[in-house]
Amino acid sequence: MRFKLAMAWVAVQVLFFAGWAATEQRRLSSGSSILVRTAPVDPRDLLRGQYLNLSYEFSRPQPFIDTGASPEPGQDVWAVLTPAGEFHVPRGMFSRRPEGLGPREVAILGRADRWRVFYGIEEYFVPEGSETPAQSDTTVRLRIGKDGAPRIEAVLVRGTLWP
Amino acid sequence: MFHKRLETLLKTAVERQVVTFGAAEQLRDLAREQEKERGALTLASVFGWLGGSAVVIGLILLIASNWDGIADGVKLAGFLALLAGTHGAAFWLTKSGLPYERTAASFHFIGSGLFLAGIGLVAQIYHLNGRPPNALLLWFAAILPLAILLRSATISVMSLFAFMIWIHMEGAFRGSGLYMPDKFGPHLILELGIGAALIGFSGLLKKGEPRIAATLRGCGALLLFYSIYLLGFYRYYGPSDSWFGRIREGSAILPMSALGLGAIGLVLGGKFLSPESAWMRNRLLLLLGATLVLGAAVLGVEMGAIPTGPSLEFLEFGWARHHTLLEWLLTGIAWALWFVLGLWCVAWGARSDHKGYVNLGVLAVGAGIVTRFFDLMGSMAQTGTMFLVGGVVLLGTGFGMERWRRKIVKQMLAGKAVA
Repeated sequence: MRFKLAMAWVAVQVLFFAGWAATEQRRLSSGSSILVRTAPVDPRDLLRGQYLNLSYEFSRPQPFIDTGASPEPGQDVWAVLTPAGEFHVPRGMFSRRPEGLGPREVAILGRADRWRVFYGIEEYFVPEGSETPAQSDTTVRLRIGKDGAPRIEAVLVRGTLWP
Repeated sequence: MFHKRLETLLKTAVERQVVTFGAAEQLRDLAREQEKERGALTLASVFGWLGGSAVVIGLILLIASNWDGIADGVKLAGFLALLAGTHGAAFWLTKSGLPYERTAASFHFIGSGLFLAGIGLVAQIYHLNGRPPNALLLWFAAILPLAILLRSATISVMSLFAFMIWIHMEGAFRGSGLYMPDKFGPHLILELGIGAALIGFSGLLKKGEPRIAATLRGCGALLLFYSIYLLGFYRYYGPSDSWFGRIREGSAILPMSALGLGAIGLVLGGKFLSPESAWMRNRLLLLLGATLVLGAAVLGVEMGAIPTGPSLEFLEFGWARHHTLLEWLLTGIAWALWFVLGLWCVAWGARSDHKGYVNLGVLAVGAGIVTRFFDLMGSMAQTGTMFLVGGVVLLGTGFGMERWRRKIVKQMLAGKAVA
């Protein structure tokens, strides 16, 4: 019985990874796709290799528009990005999911830290030895899910897919 | 093939009462042992291991050098095949009845480690970095059931490792409900509490799962020795230290839970520890209880719940350092606990004929003497003198400890010979 349960559990593990990858793949092909400016640096991760550490205009905490208070470390932050030319730029931050967004506006969910807001889109893994592109040349295409969770769709250098 | 034939033969032999059931079992064990020896020593198997290793290393290097050129889908499919294949090979080895239990266990161990690699792979492909502690929690949740179902001591250790990393990452993750003061002291209390809990709960497992119990007990002892040793330096990283002592935000839920778990473990499993001697067991439980009280006191100081008393000035390497009275007191208690725990190991090892415990205890006492010498005296002397005297203390302690150890082992052997 234990043996069969162990086999079943391993099967669950394999299915879990297949399901997880499928969910992430689906996230990347649905929801709104927006372009934002970024500032990259290139640290390394022991397990996952070299990556770009990305910082965005909306990474800097600002007082909430709805409450007037500043985000506390660990608090959920909703950043509203509004279209400005080909890019999306921050319009403000909210403590709750904002209602009645303007045309083509998107709200993304992040978590405040002391000096930064994290959205889970701060690391972009690249091939070992990749050069760090200049800040002014780099933009990121994000895919925003229905739940407000953003995912990096692509990093672009001078408008071209990178690396 | 041989084992299947042997199995059929023994079954018939037992049915016809040619051999007893016990004798048949002994013959099976003997066949397994011989198969192991033969399997490890033949020239063919040596070449097999070498060749297999070379192929595996070559494959890893080939994949690594072409990693960026491999499509994400292929990477994922390869990983899934590897995960399923590794565990599958282990299941096949177990099911086939071949005498390669350890090889099967190794495959399961590798498979359990691969789960973490899989999380890293998916995170790399989809650039996920939202909440790193969740990756460790997921790994822990995935491999713990396997450790239980397979009754595997090695996967139990890996689960414990995953749990320990997760608990530290969760405690250090701002925004987590379990976030605790970002200081060394509260983190160390986690090790102390869980170490005591492992020793306690291992008593409950002793009868049903002796191997897992022994492994968890070993891990618990390691965590406990580690935390007590570092608490011996508490005055350096207590609240009076300007670098570590500034920030006091976060809750004490995690370290308090760890200490509570330690107490529950000792209450539930303590009576099954050291069955050879109730006297020794009671002393051990007292010691472990005192260790938990020390941990609670350190936590109280760290959370600002216990006043630390007046600040005392000391000269160390020409620098004036300030440590409070309570920091000194807690540091001193940790020193005392370290030595008493070491002596308990020696006494219990000698009494229950466990040489390993004697060695551990002697090592602990010796390390304690040398550490305290450098900790207390090293900073008060000129550098040259310190090294000279320090070297003599090191040599003297080593010599004295080894003589002591040999004497105890000799007494143990003499006791055995008389028996």
